[in-house]
Amino acid sequence: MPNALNLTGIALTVEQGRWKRLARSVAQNSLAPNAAEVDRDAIFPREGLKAIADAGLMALTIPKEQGGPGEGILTTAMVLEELAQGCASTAMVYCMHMSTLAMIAALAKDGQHEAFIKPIVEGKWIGALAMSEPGSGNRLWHMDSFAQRNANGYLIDSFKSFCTSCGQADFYVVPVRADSTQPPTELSLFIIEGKDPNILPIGKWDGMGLRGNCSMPIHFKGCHVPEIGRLGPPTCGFSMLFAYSLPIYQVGLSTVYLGIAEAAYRAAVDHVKKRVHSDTKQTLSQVETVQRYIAEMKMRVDEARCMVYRVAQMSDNAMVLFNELQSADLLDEVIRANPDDPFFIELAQLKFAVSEIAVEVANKAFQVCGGTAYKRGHPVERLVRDARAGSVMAPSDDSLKLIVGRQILGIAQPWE
Amino acid sequence: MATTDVSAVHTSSLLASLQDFQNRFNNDTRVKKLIKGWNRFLKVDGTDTGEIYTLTIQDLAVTNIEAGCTLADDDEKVIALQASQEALVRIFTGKYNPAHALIDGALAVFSGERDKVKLEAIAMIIWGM
Repeated sequence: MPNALNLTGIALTVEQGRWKRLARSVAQNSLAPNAAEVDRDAIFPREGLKAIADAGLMALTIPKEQGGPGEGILTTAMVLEELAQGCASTAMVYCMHMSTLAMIAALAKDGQHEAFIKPIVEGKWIGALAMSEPGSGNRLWHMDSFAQRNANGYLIDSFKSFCTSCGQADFYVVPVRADSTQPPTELSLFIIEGKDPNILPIGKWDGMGLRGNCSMPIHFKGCHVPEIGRLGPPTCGFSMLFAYSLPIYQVGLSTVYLGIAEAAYRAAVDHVKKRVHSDTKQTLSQVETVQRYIAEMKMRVDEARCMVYRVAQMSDNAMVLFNELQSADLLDEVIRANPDDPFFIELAQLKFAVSEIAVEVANKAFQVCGGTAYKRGHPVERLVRDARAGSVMAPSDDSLKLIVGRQILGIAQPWE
Repeated sequence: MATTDVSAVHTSSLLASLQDFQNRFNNDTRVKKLIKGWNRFLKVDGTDTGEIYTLTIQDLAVTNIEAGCTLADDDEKVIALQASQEALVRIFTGKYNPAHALIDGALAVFSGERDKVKLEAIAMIIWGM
């Protein structure tokens, strides 16, 4: 039945509509045809990323005054939702790249525009966030490694447990303690270029799902970072990650899982409409149990989308406020004074809510498609494995629930 | 039993809340950093009581609070806030986040977009997020 009403409930701007349609086209024409191969052979999706870059999506949130389109987190979510339906691995790589941009744009000074923002705007660079460390696992607010000042800049020796686009990225944003005397949350942010010979990817990525995103451990083994590679003041990292990276990171991850759920739901609908039993001469769609599964899946996908769009919109509003505070050099102070503001709790809640929905919907799609989906290479088989990454990818659902619970109960957060 | 003039109580509570806001505003160095070059008139309009006050923000401070408003609403330096007196008292004493009041439909703000953000940032600094 055709839609006569706007069922999304959000009126897009002309630009947002254009980006969404562009992303859908990239997903359908460039990502989806290669998704099975990317998954089967654990291939980093260079071709898909080039299509994304050619569409001008790599600098989506870079402000207009810095040469980008100046779009926000809601637009990025709509783009990611489309990309993830084509290939979840590629969407996750793009999500991690996007999670670096707002922070770089907000903190870049002098030569950093030319050095870092220009190649991003030109679609030549793809970035990654290298955060989690072996000592603290998915507790991303705690870093053991630290920067050492020297005559030429900084020496960074840091081992990160999981890093999407490991060994493939053109640049890494690497948070480490500002120096050895600083506590684990007094962080500096460094940009380390991918061409640095002292970057050592460890092993080969052979994940259960999201097999194309090269999320291996990475060792920045004595990387020499010139002065220009440090973003912002020496101890601003924690606040800047909270203000400029966490919102797009959490919304972005959630949107990838939303896209996975949508793709699984669509695959299930497609399957039950086509599959005919020879004894009854009826399609699977005539089976009442299947009809109920389909209804439940749709409801859960819609729930996830509502949550994602709501928090994305909220994040865009927060960005305006954060930019205002940053322009007066007050953001670091304000974020430190409000570490468990309800906005950050909404972000935490969103990720585990949507990743749980993705697992549930993918499992139902699997059930509906039956033995067909049990076969290696079926899209739903891949989506079940992709969805499972959500609950363990840092910060894990269990860590996030702890944060939300503590905030509601008035208990100090682990990083306070 | 003595009767109480309810409107007088409301008026004094609103004025008292604005004076409290003035003290917090003027004594906060972070607010001063935030409002460099930002000179405005804040028209506070209690829609249920008809009480109106105008706060003058000049040279990094609330320099004056006066009853009524003689400025034109379309003056770009005027930020007009409309709400019930009770909501205004709660907003100006930090008990009701103005961003929430706006979303709740309890507060109307007539100003440029940047001014709205500035007010939200001021509230965040004075009373926390």
